[in-house]
Amino acid sequence: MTSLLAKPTFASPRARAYANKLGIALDHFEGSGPNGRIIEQDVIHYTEKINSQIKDLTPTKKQHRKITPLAKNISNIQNISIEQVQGSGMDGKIVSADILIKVQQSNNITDKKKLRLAGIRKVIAKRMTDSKRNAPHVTLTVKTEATHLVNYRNVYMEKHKIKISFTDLFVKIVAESLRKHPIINVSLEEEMLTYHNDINIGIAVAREEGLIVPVIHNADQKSLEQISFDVKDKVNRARTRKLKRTDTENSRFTISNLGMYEVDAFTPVINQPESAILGIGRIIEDIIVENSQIRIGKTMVLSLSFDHRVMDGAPAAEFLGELKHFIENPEDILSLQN
Amino acid sequence: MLIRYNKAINNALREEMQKDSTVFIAGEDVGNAGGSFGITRGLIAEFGSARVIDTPISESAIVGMAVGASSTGLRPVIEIMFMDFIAVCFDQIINQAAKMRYMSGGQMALPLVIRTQGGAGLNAGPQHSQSLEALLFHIPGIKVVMPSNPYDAKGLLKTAIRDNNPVVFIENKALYGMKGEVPEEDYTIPFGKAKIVKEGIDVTIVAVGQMVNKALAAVETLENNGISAEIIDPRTITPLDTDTIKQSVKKTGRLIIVHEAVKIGGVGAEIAAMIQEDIFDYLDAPIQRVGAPFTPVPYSKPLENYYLPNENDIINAVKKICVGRQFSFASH
Repeated sequence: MTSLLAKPTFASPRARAYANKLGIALDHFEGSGPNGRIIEQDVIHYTEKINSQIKDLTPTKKQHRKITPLAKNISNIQNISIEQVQGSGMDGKIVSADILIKVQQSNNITDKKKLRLAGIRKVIAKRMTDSKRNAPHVTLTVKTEATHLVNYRNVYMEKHKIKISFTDLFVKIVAESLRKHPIINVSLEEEMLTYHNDINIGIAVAREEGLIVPVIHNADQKSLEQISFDVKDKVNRARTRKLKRTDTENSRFTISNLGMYEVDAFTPVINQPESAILGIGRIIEDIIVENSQIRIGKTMVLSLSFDHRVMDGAPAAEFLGELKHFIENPEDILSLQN
Repeated sequence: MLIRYNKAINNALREEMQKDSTVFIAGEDVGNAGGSFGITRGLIAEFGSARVIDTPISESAIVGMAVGASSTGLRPVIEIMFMDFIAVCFDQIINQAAKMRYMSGGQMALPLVIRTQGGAGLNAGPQHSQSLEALLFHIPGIKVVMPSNPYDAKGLLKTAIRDNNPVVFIENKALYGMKGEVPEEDYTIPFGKAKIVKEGIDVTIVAVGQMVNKALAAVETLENNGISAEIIDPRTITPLDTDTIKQSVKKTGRLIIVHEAVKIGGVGAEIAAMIQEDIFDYLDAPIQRVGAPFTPVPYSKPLENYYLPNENDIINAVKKICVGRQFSFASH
């Protein structure tokens, strides 16, 4: 991060104005002007590239091809497009053998696609490397019962007739926990620790071209509805590349939610200069043993990575405990606002 | 018809004198000698020595006479043989001619034209080669005209003679021999209306006076380098057609200003400042100026050649800022 700050981004006024209009931060572009200055054409080039990628991703006319379930599964796993596959089954139905031939063919192709690291991918690569190199990461994990949280969410949505996501809930829970543990709300830059008063939660949003982290500012002062609205708006704009620069600034703590995938726990990389990040795994049905009794409930695993330069294991463990408490007793925090 | 720059000026003078009996000429050697550069040749025979007046070598008195004559309703077209000599007329030009309309609340008209010629390239030495338009450009109350070709010279001089304000009409001695198509019929060219000499999309080149032709000479090399230049000739620097320049820069995002005068404190500095003040967000590269080095014009021929901005200087300035994705195919 320090080295990124040391080298300012040069951009012509015209390129700046245009990027601003499009709502794209300057660090997405690769400058081709004198001294690596970003010029208008670099912005145009980037947007054209993104647009053509979007075009490639949008499915053209969907054809209904007859295919056996096994063939379909293999094609999915091997990432084979069935459009060019000739079916050898009845009425041209595609069978597994047809797909396997295709797999064989594609394995024979030795041409590899090579792309120079550029744009947002390059920025992510640099930031991840810097974070991993500079911050000694320690990841704590804890299994947490989520039965109440799931119930709470259902009841809440029923009662208020609005849809809220687990991410919205976690933003609220993390914000509240950060307020109780200000020692986590710290950033380290150039050997200087800054203890922040504002609680701004970044949310990692996956996009085709790469990750981006829009920020929910002052999340501790917002109601769940407000947070939900804010998250929806910013995630949408992140996906449509309409984020403003301020939407990604001043994050203090990041949440990375992989709960929608089959992931239980992971070791998230800290979004520097922040000093911790929370990874959220999926919620599963689980056996819970309590007072020598077995019952069925829902659990999830929280993964908290922290920067050991900034804090030690004990305060991080206490913070994680706080998160666990709020998840298991959501009414403690969420009832406050009503 | 195809005529030379000096003949175009001669024709403008003759036609305006035929048309309006209040127009008269005064200056050093303008009568029997026909002017040092032959501009007034034949006029004394046609209009007589009362309307084509040979004066003593006293430039300040010539301008002072013109200020007085024009305030009484005549239309003097005086000649200052070399622009360098205008330095001795500054009180008359700056404090009298430029101020009278203003100080009389517009009641007094001052229809006078000061024809003069400047520029280097003819081995005339430091006191006979200067381009001093920036000094006049700085003064509110006088119009400053810099024709770059025979057609413009004739049309702009006619407008100058018909104008009710003091006009300094700057010819360039290197252009006197330039041939160009000039219509037989009467025409004028309005002041403050720039000419887009050539359209282009990558860079705007604003050139004044004879530098317009140098810019045109650079076009082909630039095209071969994949750069499409738009060339603008302001024709008059006061009033300056800022709209045309801004529109062009909004399109191209790049601006080069070329003048023969020294770069420091030149007209280019004002145009560059105005552009960045008004349309900063359209600039895709720093504005460049091409002008002479900050030194008197050398007498030595090789040094004078070095001193004068030429098409290579323009090409280099353009190439310096036309760097980037859209130009990459031509960079080898």
